[in-house]
Amino acid sequence: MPVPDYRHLFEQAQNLIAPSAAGPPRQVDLRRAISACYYGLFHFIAAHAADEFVGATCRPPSKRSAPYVRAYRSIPHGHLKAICGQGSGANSIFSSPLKNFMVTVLDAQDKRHSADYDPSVRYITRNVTDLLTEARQAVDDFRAGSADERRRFLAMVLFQQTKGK
Amino acid sequence: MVILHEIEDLCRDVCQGRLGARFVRVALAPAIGSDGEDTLAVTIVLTEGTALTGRELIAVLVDLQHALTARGEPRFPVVSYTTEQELTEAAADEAREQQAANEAAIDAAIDADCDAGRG
Repeated sequence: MPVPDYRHLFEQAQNLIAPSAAGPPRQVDLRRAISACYYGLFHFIAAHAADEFVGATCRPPSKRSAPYVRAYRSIPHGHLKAICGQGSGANSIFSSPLKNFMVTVLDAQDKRHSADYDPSVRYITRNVTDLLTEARQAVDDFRAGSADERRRFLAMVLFQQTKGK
Repeated sequence: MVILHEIEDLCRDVCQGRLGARFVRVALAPAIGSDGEDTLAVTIVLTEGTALTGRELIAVLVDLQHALTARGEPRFPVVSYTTEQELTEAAADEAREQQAANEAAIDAAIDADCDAGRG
């Protein structure tokens, strides 16, 4: 089983809001589409982090995929949020493209959480198209960053700082 | 936290600077983030037919985040866009759905009464 392709999650979001004869997309479809936008970014990060520190040659279905899977699955959403919060601040060491990427992750994460859990929010199609446009731009921004700072960001995401004994 | 009307002025300045004549107005509301922390729901109303690019969407978000932080406002802005027409349509859709839900509830109550009468 290959790793989830973030582009497919973006396409899934697009498909969920496609116009139909039945009328505008249902609220549950808009909610799932918003969630797919965030998870597109999340899987993009997880795959890049595991590729960088374990190696793309260890991707499933490789027989040596166990450490890859362990790394891929090791990123808690709250930790990712904390790193993106620190990294996107005005005084951060990261360049503008990486900051743009991180602030988009924060935005998408909050929107995903509301879409999945808050019954009081009502969505319109534009909410999805905007988030999808933003997420795709954020991926381009990530790629526009230098290899060094991408690696630094991925290391911060993958390796949580613990208090020494 | 900064007073709401001050934040509104700040958001209006940022939006006008980035979006120019495409910006109509901004509305703010307190919201809850994914970790249960306080956030700011920022709804930006645009002129009809406006679609922003990815660069513009991110630029507004970054500008708002930095402007709020510089003013001492810790809440993250969760930004969404709409137009006056979309707001009207969404309200009409919601009213229709509410009406349908009410009618379904009445039908269910009548069915339950009939079942009870037969029993």
